[in-house]
Amino acid sequence: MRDFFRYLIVFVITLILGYIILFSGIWVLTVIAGFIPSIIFSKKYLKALISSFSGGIISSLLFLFNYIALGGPIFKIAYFAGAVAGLPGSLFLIISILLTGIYCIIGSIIGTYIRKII
Amino acid sequence: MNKGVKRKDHIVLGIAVLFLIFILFLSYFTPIGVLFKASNPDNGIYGYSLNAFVRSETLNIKGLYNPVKIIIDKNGVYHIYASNLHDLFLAFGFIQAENRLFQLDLIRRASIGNLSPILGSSYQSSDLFQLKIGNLITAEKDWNETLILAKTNKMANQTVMMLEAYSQGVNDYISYAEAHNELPFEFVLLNYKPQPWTPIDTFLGQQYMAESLEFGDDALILSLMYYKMGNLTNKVIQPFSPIPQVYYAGYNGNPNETITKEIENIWPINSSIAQMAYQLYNEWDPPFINPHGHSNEFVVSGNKTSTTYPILVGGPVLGFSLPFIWFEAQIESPGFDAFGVFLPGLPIPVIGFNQYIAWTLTDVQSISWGTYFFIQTVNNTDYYFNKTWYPIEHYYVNGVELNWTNWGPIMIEKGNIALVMDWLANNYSNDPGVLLSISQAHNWTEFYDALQNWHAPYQNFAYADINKNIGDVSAGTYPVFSMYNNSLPYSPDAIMPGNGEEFIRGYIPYQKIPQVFNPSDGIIVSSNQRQVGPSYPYWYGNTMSFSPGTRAWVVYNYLLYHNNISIQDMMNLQWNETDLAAVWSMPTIIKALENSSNPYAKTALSYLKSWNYIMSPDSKAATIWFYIYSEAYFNVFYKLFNETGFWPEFENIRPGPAGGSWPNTFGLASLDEDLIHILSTGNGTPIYNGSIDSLIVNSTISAMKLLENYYPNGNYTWANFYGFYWPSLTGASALSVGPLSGLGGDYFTINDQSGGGGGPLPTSPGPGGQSWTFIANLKNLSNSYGVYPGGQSENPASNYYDNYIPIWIKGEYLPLIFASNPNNISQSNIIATIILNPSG
Repeated sequence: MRDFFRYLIVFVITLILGYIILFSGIWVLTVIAGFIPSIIFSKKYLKALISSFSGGIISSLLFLFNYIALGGPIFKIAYFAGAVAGLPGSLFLIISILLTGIYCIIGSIIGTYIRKII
Repeated sequence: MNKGVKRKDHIVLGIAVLFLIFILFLSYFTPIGVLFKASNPDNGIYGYSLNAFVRSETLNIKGLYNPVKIIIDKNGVYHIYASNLHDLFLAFGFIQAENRLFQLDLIRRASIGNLSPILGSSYQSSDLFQLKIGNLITAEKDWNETLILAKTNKMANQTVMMLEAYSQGVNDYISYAEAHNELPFEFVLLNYKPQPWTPIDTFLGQQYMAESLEFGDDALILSLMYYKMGNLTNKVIQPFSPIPQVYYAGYNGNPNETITKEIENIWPINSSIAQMAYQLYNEWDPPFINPHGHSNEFVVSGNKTSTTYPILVGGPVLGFSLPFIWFEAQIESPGFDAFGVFLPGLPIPVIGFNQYIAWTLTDVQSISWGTYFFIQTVNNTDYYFNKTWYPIEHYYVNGVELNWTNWGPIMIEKGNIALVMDWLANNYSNDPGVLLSISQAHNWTEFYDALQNWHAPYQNFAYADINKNIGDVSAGTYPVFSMYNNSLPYSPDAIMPGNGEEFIRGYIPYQKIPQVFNPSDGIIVSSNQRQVGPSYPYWYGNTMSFSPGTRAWVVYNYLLYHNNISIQDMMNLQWNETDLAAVWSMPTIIKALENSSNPYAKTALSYLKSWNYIMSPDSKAATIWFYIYSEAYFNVFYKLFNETGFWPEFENIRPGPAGGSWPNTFGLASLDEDLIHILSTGNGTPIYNGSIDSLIVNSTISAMKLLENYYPNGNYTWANFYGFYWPSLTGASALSVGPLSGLGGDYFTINDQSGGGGGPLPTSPGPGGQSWTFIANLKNLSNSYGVYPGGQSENPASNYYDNYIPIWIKGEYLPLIFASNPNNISQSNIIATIILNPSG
């Protein structure tokens, strides 16, 4: 039960930090969103990985939802951008969501590792 | 080390770090990086989605003196209200960039020859061509000249103010879009950012439009024809049209003998020059330039209309694309108002109206498109002219050395012989300033005086005002050639000797260029046909460049024989689908087919006999006519080219029937006029010496076999061959529209898709047409109509990307909302209001 809350906190902090960091436009910095909660709370790679990945992709989803809330047709934009690039438009969306999660995973693994050595 | 850390931990960490490095490597050092960059949730492609919808907002932007109010009406048209002209043009720049930033950048890049860095090496040859013709050199000269003139000249002074304010507005939007991550996704995908806009870029746009409208290599073709065909050339490319013409500016008398001789006096070239000319012909490669030369303008005076006031109709034919070339707006400040359509990079309407006057444009297409070629002696450093050596001017642009003589850029050089181009658009012309003056004009005098400063490209400016005056001026600077020894000049329609024996003596005086004011019949029609008749006392070109004149003839005859003409009548006339070439040719064709027992001929005859000459989408007879005409064209001219040896030596030169309607052909009006003359008179001498009846029957048989091949079920209605297509500037089919059928017509009708390598093959529609169908009602200009087949926004996710196309394709119009006071626009007509406030 304690583990559940521990990793719930990792998830929530990753989500919040990820969401905020995404505004910087420097995508790779979302590594920090996975790193900070993991270095504080995480002890196990797999659980850290799952919670930070979940937090990362949901932060991306929320970020993209902003555009929709403001009236921006992001699916159409992705479709047309894909058409120009010769790719399926959904690929942009998938990368947008997954890559944040991956960055958060990397941060979380580094965080967990450092927690283990200190 | 903490004993809790195991080997497994190091491996996991190593994998994570390596994976991070791998992703960063992909992002920054491989093509996939663009995909990652575009997918960035913050500054990737998604911010552009916020540009897709129209919203009311208040923004602070740099450079404004006072707030500006912008109303977007229900059709997506912008109405900009400012307290002074500076703010007006600045706000327009902001709005145009908001809707068309990628298009703006693409056109300046196309003009300057700078596409390959963003679009790839396939654009290198067109880039080099663009550099060679001198657009950048001329644009810089134009701006510098305008700056100098601004100290003493009001028009130049206003131009400087206008273009600097406009540039500020565009750059304000670039800053805004970068700060809000709303740059068009093309920039993200192509991985570059737009450079700041400058007034030179507006002049680059002017050069690009001049290139689209008045620029050609006809002179090279004529010289090569003469090289192979000798004097027969002047029977094929005739000085004056052999078919009936409407010369709006008169001079209908007998041909001026001296001028006729000058037109026919083609300078003979040798094989070496012929090879240079052919090489340049093959290198002729302007990018994104679509077919031209099919525009319409007609004005009728109040004594023939139901309103008792003039009605002016505009239908400039340009290539279609998405985003479309036009942007529609009303711009208003105290003492100034104008409504119309604007080109990318130009903050003043090209076609439109104010409270007093309305105007529209068509291409003049005279004097070899204003593009002359000379053979000149050169060495590494100097060129020879008039018995003297002068230093060649060297320019270095984008790493390329460009060499100019007194005539202009050296296009091809072999040994000490250079083929040099003198393009009129490379002379100074302050077109933005002239258009601003036109927009400010209250009457004919002000309009006419302003046009005196219009030098290139040659344009017919049709005019009407609320005081019931109508007029037209074919504005431009038309050179007059002379020989040093006072002998007959060589035809400027072909390559000329350039060492000084032939030179430009001066220009046709402004009062003598083609023009008319309040003609007695109350009708002006100028649809790219020759503006002046054969008795005009100046050299004005041969039949190569002007349109055959069938469109003008249809319009003129309608207006001549009708009175009480209404706005609706003018709308109907603008979409008239009568093919006059068919009207004139059909008696000979039917007579020939009646004498034939061939079953294909009999089938064709059964359709053609009851045909009304209307190129309607549901007509099979229309298709049959077009194919017979095309086959006859091939049988006459391609036979001639082979017999004279023009082919195969110059086999890449392939004119095509009906203005180059067939794929991989181009329009040569002389040949269409010759064929119409042959078919209407039944006499082909000396171009075609065989039996005309046999020509018609054989052409009919091959035409019917082709149609049978395409449509074995016999369903070859014209809609299968004639349609409209809007290619996206990105090249992506998902962002393109069409092919759409629904409207009929062909090259000889008023509504022309502009052919140019599209139809008439199934699924190969033309990429052009009447680009702005405009009816100005001079009784009440607020009750005018217009629509262009595109949309205001270049954002494909916007509802305003292509929303005008469904209206246009039905031949319908939108009422133009024109209000001097924003409060006069009813709330039901407003979808959003933008307030721009000065920042800082």
